[in-house]
Amino acid sequence: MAKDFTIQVVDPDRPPTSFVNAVIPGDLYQHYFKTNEAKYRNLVAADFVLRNPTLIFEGVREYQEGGWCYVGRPASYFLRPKIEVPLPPGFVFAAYLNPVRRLYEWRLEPAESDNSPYPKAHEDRYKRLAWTSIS
Amino acid sequence: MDKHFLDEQVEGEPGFQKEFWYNPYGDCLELYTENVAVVADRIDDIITIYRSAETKAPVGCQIKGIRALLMHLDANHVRVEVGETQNVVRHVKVEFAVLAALRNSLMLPTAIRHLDRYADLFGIMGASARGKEVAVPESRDAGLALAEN
Repeated sequence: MAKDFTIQVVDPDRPPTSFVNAVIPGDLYQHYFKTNEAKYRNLVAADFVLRNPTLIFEGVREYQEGGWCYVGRPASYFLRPKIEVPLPPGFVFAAYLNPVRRLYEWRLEPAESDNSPYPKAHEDRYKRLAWTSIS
Repeated sequence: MDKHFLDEQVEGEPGFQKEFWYNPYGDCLELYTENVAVVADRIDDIITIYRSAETKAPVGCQIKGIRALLMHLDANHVRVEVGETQNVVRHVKVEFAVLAALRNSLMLPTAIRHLDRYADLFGIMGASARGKEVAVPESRDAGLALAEN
């Protein structure tokens, strides 16, 4: 069985220069490798966003206290397992950590507008904006 | 294509499977019907439709907050057993979990705005949900406090 993989992500409590450990669960990435290779390939984009977020939101789920959503713009992502394309305007890439800092979801999301770094409807979806690199 | 930072860790060959899966770290049911990157089309806190980043067609869904949903189902819908490490494991038919999620979603005041997306959900699920059962372990870490890490 694949081992849990520890990565360094921006510490949401002391951004942007402090980093903290997060885990990509072994059974999670192994599952996607076998069942959804496009998603597995996009762990590279998720890793980039977790290290280089433009926004960090806290409190991501009605049924789950805590958790974080890291949002950013990697230069590219895998449209299909062997097709890497630039991230188009109007989209951001989001990576989600659960309350014990395990990565559980990563995907493209529509942005508020073509040039906005904010995901659509962000005001209604998260408890608070924990950090932004946008001045 | 650059080497993936986890390529040394994974076992077997890469592939694709069109079937529901319970993600214990996000406490959600997921289905992908195409091996393509997805854009989230979020209906509400309960249901998200996955759309192809290539065509915008619906190619999957995510049903969130499964443990809470199971509390509202009864013994006809949820089979409970003790897992290998003495953890309680609930087994639920995907159809019942999705219907329970739909009931909660449709009770929200915003539901009427999303009828086309609910229709997409039915289109995506098709035979993937019929008779399929998933295991939902009780003690995975999705709801635990950070101090326990």
